[in-house]
Amino acid sequence: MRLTMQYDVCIVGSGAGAGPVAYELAQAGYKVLVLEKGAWYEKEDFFKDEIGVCRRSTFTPKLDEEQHVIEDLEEGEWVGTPTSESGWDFWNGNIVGGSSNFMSGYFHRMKPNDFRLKSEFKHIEGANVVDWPISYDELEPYYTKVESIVGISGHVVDHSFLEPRSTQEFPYPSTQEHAISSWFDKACQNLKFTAIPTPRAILPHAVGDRNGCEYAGYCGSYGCSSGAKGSSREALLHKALKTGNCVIMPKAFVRRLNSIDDKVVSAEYVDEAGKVHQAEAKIFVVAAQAIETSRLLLNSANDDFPTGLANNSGQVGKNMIFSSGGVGSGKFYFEDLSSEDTQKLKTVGPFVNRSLQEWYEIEGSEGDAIEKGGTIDFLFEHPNAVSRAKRAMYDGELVWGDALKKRLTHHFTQRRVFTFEIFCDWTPTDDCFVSLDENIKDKWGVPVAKLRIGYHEHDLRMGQILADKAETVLKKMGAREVNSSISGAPPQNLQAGGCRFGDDPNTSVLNRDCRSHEVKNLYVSDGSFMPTGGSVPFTWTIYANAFRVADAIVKELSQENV
Amino acid sequence: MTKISLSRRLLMGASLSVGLGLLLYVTDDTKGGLKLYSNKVQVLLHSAYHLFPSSALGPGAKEVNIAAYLSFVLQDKRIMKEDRERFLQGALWLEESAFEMYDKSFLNLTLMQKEELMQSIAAQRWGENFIYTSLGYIFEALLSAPAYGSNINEIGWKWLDHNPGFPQPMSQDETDYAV
Repeated sequence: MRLTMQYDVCIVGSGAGAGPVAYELAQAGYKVLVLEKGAWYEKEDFFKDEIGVCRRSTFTPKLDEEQHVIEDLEEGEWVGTPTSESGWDFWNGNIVGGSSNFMSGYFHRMKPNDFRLKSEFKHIEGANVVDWPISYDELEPYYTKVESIVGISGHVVDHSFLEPRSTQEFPYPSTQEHAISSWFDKACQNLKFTAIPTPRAILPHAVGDRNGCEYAGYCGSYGCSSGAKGSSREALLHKALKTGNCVIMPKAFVRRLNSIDDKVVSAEYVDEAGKVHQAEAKIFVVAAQAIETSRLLLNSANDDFPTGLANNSGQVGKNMIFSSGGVGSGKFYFEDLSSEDTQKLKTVGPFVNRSLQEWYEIEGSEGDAIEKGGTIDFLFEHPNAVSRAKRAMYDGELVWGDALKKRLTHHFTQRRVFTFEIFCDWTPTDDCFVSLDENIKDKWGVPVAKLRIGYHEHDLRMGQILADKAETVLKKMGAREVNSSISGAPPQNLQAGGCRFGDDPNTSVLNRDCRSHEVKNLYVSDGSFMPTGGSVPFTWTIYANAFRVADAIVKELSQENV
Repeated sequence: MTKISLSRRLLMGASLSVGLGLLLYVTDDTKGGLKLYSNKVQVLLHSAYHLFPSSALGPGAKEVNIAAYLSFVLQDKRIMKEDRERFLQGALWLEESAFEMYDKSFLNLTLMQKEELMQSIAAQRWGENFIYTSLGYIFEALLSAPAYGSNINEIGWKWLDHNPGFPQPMSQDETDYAV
């Protein structure tokens, strides 16, 4: 079957890298087709159902049907383990709107120096660090655009690493804050640290068709039932659909892009019934999230591109990055607090909304160049009950019976756990990349992605510096049993790289507009373009860059170059 | 497919004996294995009652209606087949261990014998995995939305003073997420 409609743009994926392109192109009057492999859910379909949402593969594929192979270093050898065996799931939300449906919405901009990591910071041996081909100033207008269109709430305070802004304040005030935020502020004041209100992609009040936050107390990992969270679906795709110029096709898995010479001619996709279709368009945009974007290009090899579409440079899949860092926590026991403070602490719903960027850059010793530090976000332990209960199962060894019940009541009714997350640069190296597995295929018979997850020791050292600082704050607040864990394991939900942008076609996949150097009508607009990721969560930058890419596509279409 | 879906809904409100009968009907297509399968499920249930007993400290697996929840788990297509089979295999091995140690079914052991047996298998990798998995499902039954058929009258949430957030699924259909 052939689609009867002729599209200007076909987008593969519907998450944060896709939404801005669909939104802008549809608003500009171009015909847009969005192919999303997952199903289409709306806010009415989302419940705070830990079983369905967090403990089963409801919004992600079953790993025995679709999986990855993770290559890790074991006794000096890279050993690949299928995720169907390990259970280590690298899917993040295969539904319309992608993983932006399930994000926590901690939104930080990258800083000007993040765009010049190679030039501004101490050399790291064994790293593939490069400067970005664009500057912060070029992306700034798009960061601002995301604030208003996707909807970011917050409050600007001056601090050492506040990035230059073209507006004085966020368009939406901060969401309601928990009492512990003032305890945090007081501790930071005593320590002479600058507490920063964390910007959130969550609306504090109704805007247009979207409701304000309902403060259910569950945000990360859950689809938003009010529409306040700035998912690609809620904030952008709905508006794209309203133009009448955008078609979203769910349950449409794109298994390859077909090209002739230096142009993509169709996206070959499989529908729910297993039928194969060809979607044709003038321009193709891939935004399937970094691992899957590289996989699609590698699986689209042909005579012109024998090692993968747009991969004659050999760079597709290379220099994958994640967010390095770790986590930590401290416990507030109710017996240490007044009854009034205990009641305040027990309150569920309002956000902590605090972060520290005091050590975003760290002075070297004895005249050494500065090093990149990072961001620390503070939050409560996730309220998921089954996950919390499972932490009570071991007391040195597995316990059950009344001993377990005592531990459960202690964990749930005697304390509240305050946590932090550290975001540092993941140093790109030759040991972190995507390729195709030679043996394992998905349920459609397409080779799955194999991800090598080597990390640089440098990242652990920087993470530990930040963890020590974060622990200081928790102790000052009066928390007990303060601890942290820094790891080289990649967080599955913070993935980027694999299709670097740059000015040199020999060392990058995309040009500065995120168009393939080798394939004239192929763009990549998810986090794959990022050569380095900054020491912040990626999503705001992905949204902003996708708006920038959309402008480039509009310009190209308007000039009839395609 | 239709039979499974229909039976699953019936199970959520069914009594234990009726529920297990239906479970046999819808999940085991090897006629010769029917009796053994039933026994495995009984072992799963009674091991859950032992691992999370009814006591003055709080509700046990029985009060949270683990029977209905396990019926759901054993038919939940979102759980990988291998994981489900491993769980059932654990029940079989527990039963075999009971015969090896006491020459009788796990169901007929005294409280002390059950505890000795659990301590014994916990020292073995398969046994620790089985207990860990069982406790995980007990926690799910205890702390999941009542729409799943367990956590009757929110007994688990009330016991642990847990705020589950909102909205919650109000019916079995809403936990299917079928679109």
